[in-house]
Amino acid sequence: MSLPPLDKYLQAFLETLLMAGASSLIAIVAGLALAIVLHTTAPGGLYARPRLYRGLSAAVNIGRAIPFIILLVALLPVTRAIVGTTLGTWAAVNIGRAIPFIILLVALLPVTRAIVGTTLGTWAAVVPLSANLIPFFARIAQVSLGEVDGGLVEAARAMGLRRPQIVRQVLLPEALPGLIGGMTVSVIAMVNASAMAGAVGAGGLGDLAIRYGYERYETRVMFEVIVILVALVSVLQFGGEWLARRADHRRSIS
Amino acid sequence: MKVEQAAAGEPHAIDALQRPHIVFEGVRKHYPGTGRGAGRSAGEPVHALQALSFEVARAEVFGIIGRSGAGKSTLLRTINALERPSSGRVLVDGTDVATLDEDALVALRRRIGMIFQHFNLLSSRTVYENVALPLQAAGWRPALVRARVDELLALVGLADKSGAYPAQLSGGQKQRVGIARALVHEPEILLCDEATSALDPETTQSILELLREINRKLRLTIVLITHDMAVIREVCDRVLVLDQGRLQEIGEVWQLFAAPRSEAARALLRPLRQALAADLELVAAADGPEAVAVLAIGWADGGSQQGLPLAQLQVLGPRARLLQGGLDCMRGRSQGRLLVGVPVQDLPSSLSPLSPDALTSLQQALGADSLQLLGHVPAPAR
Repeated sequence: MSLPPLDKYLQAFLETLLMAGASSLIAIVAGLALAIVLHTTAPGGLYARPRLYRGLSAAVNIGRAIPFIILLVALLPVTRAIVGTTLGTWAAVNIGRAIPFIILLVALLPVTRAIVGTTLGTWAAVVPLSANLIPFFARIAQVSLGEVDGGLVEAARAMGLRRPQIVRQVLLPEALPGLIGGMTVSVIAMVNASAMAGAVGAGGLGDLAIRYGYERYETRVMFEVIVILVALVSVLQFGGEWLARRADHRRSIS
Repeated sequence: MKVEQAAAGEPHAIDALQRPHIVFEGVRKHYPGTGRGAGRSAGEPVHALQALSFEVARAEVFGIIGRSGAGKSTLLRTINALERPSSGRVLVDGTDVATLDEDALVALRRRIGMIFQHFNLLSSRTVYENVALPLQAAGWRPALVRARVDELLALVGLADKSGAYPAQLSGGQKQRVGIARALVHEPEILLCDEATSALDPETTQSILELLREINRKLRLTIVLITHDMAVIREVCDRVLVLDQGRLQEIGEVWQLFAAPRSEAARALLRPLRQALAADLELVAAADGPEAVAVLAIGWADGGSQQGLPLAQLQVLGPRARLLQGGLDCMRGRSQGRLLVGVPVQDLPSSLSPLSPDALTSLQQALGADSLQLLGHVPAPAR
């Protein structure tokens, strides 16, 4: 009955930061690119291509729905496969809402191996985490871009801006407050999702909490991890709100 | 100055200057039916514009007026190709704007400034950065951008606001930023899309004065759309009345005010028209010599002279009363309408009863362009 030493906490914290940070960065860059393509190819957009738009939009929906589709179609055998072979100790875990992500994580194992060369460790978790978040953030960013007043785009066209210039100098800066808000939500979702990444031996705070707190009945560890997570999420939330306020000049009180 | 130079002996230059600046040739626009639920083919196409042909002269202020939904916004946007006509052509300086590729279109749009009802300033950029945007997009060097933006902010009277964000400005100030932004590329045409409709009357006045000043100083062709006749009266030289995508009438502003020919124009003018007090009840026939005939006297074209000599009204006799009315001077032409009450017995005997012939001769005696008998006020009961 020994509590984990302090450096265990530090290591777990850094692993969580690394997983959440790297995955967020990848997902935000890729998701934003996808959102821009979606927004500009939509009917009436700058590069209106209704067919391409419908295709991409369907792909994003499928990307967001895959875990649930798998859950619906193949819940029992997949769960048995996960529990029986790769995951072992997870059989006891109350998987709850985590199931879809875990399924994605496992389903993506071959892809992960092809990209990072291993299916174990912190970096291995980055692949499914990013893949999970790209369509999610793409939709959030698309909404923010859609909220930019169409009159601004019209004005930009009327003043002789080219379309790439309109995206860079009008759409993105005007959508920035909303985009920052979406990023905050996404990064926090990523912190939560990364707690499940222990499934591939990625470590992190969630892993620590389960191994010590749940499996060894060290309730204190569980609580301490929760406190650290709450603090991390609060810092991210407040930081995001502060940034969004800084970027927002729409109200008269600056 | 250019005009005088051309007159001195450059016939080609005269041609270029006298050629209409913007020409509309049979411009039509229709949108596919909007009935999405019922299937696309089921919806009737919406005819926004129906075969419009007219010209806008160089350096004039041309107004397009109509109720909302009349198609004026669509019409304005065909000039800088934000909207493409379904058929017909829009020529700017002889060039059909629909045939331009993206590069040529960008070049054209830099020659055509545009301002908007809701200003459409970027909230993420300061006043300075908003005005600088078109120049930066055109690849100007920062030093040149600074000089040009400062010059324009001074022109619109906002030199001290360059670091403010649009949210910190009043509506009138925002529109001034919009005007400065529209003028950065020294355009030859300025399009105004309901530019004063979101402003209070006082601010509207100052913005309209600014537009007039720009028109004179920069010899800029201005095309503006509005639903407000007061705006037309204030700044426009010529006006086109649009209703349901159809051209109702076109002409000099003073002519439209003096003698509107279309029902749409009369409807738009009604709020500005002086009318009799609502509690004054008129009856068709005079009930005795003491009854008062109410006449509407109109002057459509005051010619070169401003105003109306009061002596002309003496024909009506000493007991005639001025009930309502006013004279207005527009672009140097005076026109207006007076409502007068004259006791029937004071009219020259040949004039009563007031036959059409009698009215015509009275009109000539008054030197008026129109005379109308509105009715009679019964004699006061004794």
